[in-house]
Amino acid sequence: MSYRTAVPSHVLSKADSNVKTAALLAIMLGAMILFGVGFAQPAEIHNAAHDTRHALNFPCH
Amino acid sequence: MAAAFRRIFFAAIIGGLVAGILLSGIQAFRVLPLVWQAEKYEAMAPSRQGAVQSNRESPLAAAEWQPADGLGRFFHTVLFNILSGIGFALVLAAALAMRGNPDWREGLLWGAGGFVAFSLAPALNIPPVLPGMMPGDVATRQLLWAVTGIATASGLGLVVFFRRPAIKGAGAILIAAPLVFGEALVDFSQAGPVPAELAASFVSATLAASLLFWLAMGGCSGYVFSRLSASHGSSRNQ
Repeated sequence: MSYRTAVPSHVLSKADSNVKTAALLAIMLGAMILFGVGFAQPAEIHNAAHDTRHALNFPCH
Repeated sequence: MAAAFRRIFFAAIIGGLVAGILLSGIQAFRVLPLVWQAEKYEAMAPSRQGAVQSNRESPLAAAEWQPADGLGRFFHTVLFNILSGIGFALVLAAALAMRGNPDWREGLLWGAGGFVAFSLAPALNIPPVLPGMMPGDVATRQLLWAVTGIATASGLGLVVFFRRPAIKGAGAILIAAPLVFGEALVDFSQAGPVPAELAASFVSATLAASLLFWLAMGGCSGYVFSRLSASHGSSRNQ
């Protein structure tokens, strides 16, 4: 579900379209970083991020 | 747009950096020693038929690069903690930006919401596991983690920001559904070599550390965001 459907119009009333676009970009960038840190399976990334994944409860192996 | 993104980005970098460093400090004393202790039990246990060994010990991954034990390993953990902090803080700061002019107190509340959505709710479905514990297929648990986090975050949004009871009810269902149906997807039937006492300590330590991580991230991101909004003033919407 995207933020557009999750957040009602009265919440968005203060945010103009520039802010919405910037927020969407930030969410996509954040999701990409989190995918790399928490989910990517190549062994090198897994081994480097191993303890962080266990300690933040990302499913590790 | 560029100015709005810069504010989100800068608030997320500072919030993620502070939260990641704080988390690393807590982990060094209360979380990582449990991980390393569990690896000793894992290494002592005979390899089980069909079980996927921890990559750190398996012959397959031993051939791959991995950070050297000790400071090298901790350095990578700090690095990835900070990256996790920045990743989560980008989403959190984006939400703050949509709210207009938040301060550190509102940031703290968003941090608490982030903890519920991305630490507490996933942990109810997939208990935090130490190396050597085998709760089933990793891809299934990753999908369950993501679905639980996104559904809980969306559900919280519906409950908190909408006035109509029907929509609040839909939010409550979104929060509850992954917790009702998720448990069946995790399989703890195969006992691992890690003592239950160690696993129990790990669960409480990781949840407490995660709570402080999220509160620090939310509070700092909110503070930086409010300072940047104040200093930019009229250029806020550019």
